[in-house]
Amino acid sequence: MVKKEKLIKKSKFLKNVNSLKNLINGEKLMLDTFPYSSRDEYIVKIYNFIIENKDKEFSKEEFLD
Amino acid sequence: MPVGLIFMKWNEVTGNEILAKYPEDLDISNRTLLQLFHTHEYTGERGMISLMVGTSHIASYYTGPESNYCIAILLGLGEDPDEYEGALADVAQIFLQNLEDEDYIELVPNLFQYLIDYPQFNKEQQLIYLYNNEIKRWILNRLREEGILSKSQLEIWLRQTFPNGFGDIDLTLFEFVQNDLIQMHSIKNERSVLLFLINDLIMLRIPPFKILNNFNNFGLPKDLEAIFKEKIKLFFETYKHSEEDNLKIINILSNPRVYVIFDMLRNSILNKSDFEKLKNKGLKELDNAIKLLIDAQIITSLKDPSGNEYYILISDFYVKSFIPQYILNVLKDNFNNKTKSEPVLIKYLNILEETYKETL
Repeated sequence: MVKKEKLIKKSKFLKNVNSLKNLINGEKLMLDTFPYSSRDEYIVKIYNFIIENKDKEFSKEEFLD
Repeated sequence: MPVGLIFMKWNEVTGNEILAKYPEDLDISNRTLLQLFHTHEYTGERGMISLMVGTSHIASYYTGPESNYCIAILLGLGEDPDEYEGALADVAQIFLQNLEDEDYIELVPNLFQYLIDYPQFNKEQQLIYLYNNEIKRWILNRLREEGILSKSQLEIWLRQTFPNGFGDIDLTLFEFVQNDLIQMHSIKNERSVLLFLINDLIMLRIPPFKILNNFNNFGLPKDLEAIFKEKIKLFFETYKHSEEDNLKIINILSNPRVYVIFDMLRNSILNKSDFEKLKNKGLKELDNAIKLLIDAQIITSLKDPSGNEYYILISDFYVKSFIPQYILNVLKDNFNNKTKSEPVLIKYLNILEETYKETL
């Protein structure tokens, strides 16, 4: 079973949520952009993660390269 | 198990008018139907209620005093109406979409079967079923683009996009809320309730790891293992995640008779005689399910040197909800372009914070 927490790094996400709140409240944003500029980019990341974590006999490369 | 399904309309002159019922010989007294309408009338607005009649419950949806339709499920002894809320929302929605030419009449047996199947649906099936609905898929895609939608604006868009009718906005959104995909909130100075995306859905094919990692436990010839692994390797070398492929799969898996075979093959390899046994145990539509799964390249059949045929999963299907992290960039653009007000953006960020803080 893929651990959701491990995959998405919730603490980092919450930190980014807080940064954006600070920006709206008038503070300067340190990041130009947050991770994952698109949904597709994130899906690729998830797919790779699943392959890396669930596959014990095949490497990611064997399936995808 | 539900014992009956009724579509009714309240007529000011003649009273209850049953538009359709299933089974056709379903016996329900006029007094019970009156009691049902009066309970809805008491609330004065559209929505769901449950009513105890004798020792059984009726779960019912009323469309409100303007249209006066009522969709009711009669439940068996001791059954919990809460378990059927999602199914009732779906059935009511389909009924309202098929009022023209009384198209709903043909659908009644299938809708009743859906009610029977619904309580056994797992989370994965609920998500598959939701995404298999064109209108709900349209809403989710819109939320993926914007993160926040006004409920009243959404209702206008839906009327424009689906001129043949989309039913009722609350019924449409019911399963989004049930499955934690959205939250709805009222905000000061905003004219409409707002919808906030808190979870997105991901669907993609993945290799059948459970089978791959335990192949030797199934007692199949070694030659078949090599052929099987080669098939998977070839398939995933060229596999490209696409909406078209996902829709093909969810369309197949939204049939509970097909899903049960698919789910069984996630943990086992079955041969012809296994299927014969399952058929004898009453598993329906088996041959059709296998054909659909093979055509969609979800399973394959392999023959050993003695001619024994085995059915094996070659592509599992991964369906989960996930945190829409990408939405932060959308919100940042909304802020920079001033397309959403600051209180609305702050509210959304607070919702995300509250939702995910709890699960840290």
